[in-house]
Amino acid sequence: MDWSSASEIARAVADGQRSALSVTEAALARIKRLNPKLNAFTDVVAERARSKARALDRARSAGQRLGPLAGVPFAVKNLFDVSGLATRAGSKINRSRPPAPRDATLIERMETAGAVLVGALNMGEYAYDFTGENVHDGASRNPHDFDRMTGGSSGGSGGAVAGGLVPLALGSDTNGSIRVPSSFCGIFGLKPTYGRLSRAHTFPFVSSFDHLGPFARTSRDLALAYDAMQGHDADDPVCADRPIEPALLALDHGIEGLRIAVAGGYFRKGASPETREAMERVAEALDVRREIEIPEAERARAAAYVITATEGAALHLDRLRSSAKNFDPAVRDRLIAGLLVPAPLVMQAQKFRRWYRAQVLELFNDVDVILAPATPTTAPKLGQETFVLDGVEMALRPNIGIYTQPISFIGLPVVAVPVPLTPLPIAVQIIATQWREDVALRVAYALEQAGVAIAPRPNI
Amino acid sequence: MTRRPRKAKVLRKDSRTKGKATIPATHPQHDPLDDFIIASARALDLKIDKAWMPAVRGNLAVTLRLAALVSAFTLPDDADQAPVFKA
Repeated sequence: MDWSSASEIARAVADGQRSALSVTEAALARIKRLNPKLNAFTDVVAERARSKARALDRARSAGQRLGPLAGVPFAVKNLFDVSGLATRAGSKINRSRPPAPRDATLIERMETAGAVLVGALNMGEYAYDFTGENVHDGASRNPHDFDRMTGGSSGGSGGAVAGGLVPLALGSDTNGSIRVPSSFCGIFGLKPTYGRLSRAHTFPFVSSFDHLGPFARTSRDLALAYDAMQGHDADDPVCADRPIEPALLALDHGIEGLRIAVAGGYFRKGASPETREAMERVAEALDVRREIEIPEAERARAAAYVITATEGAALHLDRLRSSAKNFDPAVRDRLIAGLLVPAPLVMQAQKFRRWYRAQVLELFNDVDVILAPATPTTAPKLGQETFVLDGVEMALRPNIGIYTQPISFIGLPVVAVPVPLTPLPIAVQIIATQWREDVALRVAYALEQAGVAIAPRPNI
Repeated sequence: MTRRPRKAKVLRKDSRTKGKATIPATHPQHDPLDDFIIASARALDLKIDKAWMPAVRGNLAVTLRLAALVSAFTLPDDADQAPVFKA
């Protein structure tokens, strides 16, 4: 079952071909065997998982109908509250917090659908990261090459799914933290519309940009998990009061009639040959010849950077006063700098955000989907500090998200689809207009069916 | 009771430099951004170790450069921010 999808596992458990307990034990054994290499998990909740699995098996024996994720092992980025664990959010400081009294809303919804939580996952400190490195817990390692980054900040989520430890994981995406690990690790990731999925009972980073979403090895599994997690939650003031709009059933609708364009201009700059190759393969498979310019994307990325720096820093002011030496130095110095940015500059970035949103939404009157690169390169080496974009050597950390930031800045839904280049995969962003996750998932599914978007199995 | 903000302090490992905020303004290596960092940190009651200053300065310079790009974009006076309060 190492590489089985969540859909296959749920079907086998519901049909009685496998017990939920045997699936859970197999997942725990894989984690025990592979986690020393991948460093994806920071906590394993084995007894909780066994208890949940036994309850599922008893329910089935009693003739009860199991949920759509019956017996599917999953894990969450360690900024999600997990009952009984301190929510560390990748930090040293948070470890002294009291254990969470309850689970995050999305964990509850996954478990209501029958999924089995097996643990919490490594991440960049306080989610201010694109690398997957962590000075306190060690770097999460890329299953395709242990010496390379998983991408961040949901690095453990990327490594756990790409390495076959679990078929599903949850992460957060503020500026690209689902899409970047999806790209570097070669898996599917969904960053839904801002406000679609509840963020209640998770540790924030930049609340006005924070999204939560799933990682999987198939687009069908993404849709399955996404559907299970939808719904209003009064505990998250940002969570939209919208009806559940299932995406799974829409996958088979195909893509005929969808108007798809490739993002040009800014999104053509700085791309490595691998990034361009992935874009060409996807565009060719979808027979897309149209190019569209997202106006002022570079400025949008700059505005996202400014708001992230300041809002993210404000969250940590007290901790920077009292415990600055307990931060990852690289995170600390960025946060301190963010505290010092004058307010008028932030106000302007927030005004620009509204203007930009209106411009981009107007584009969607004319297209249904925009394709853009996810990352400017495949996974860099661990510890790498610079890379070359368009012949210019640049700092790596702040620039990995150049293609993801202009999109999450205005909360559009995106599916990152993996293109299995050799030796390392890389992803493409499938971007839809707000609240149309179903459209992005349909395109991802079509690319998967065509054999263009595939999560490659690592040799570990 | 009103809490009086503590003075911002640039911590040093070298006691010989005690009492000096940073490189003197007349020093050729002096960066004007340092004065802003020290004054702002003082206003926020934030201590910055001297060893952290180059990285803080570097990060702030990048953010200010990107903020300048955003500020150079002309928006009408009545443009609203993205977050809008609703009563």
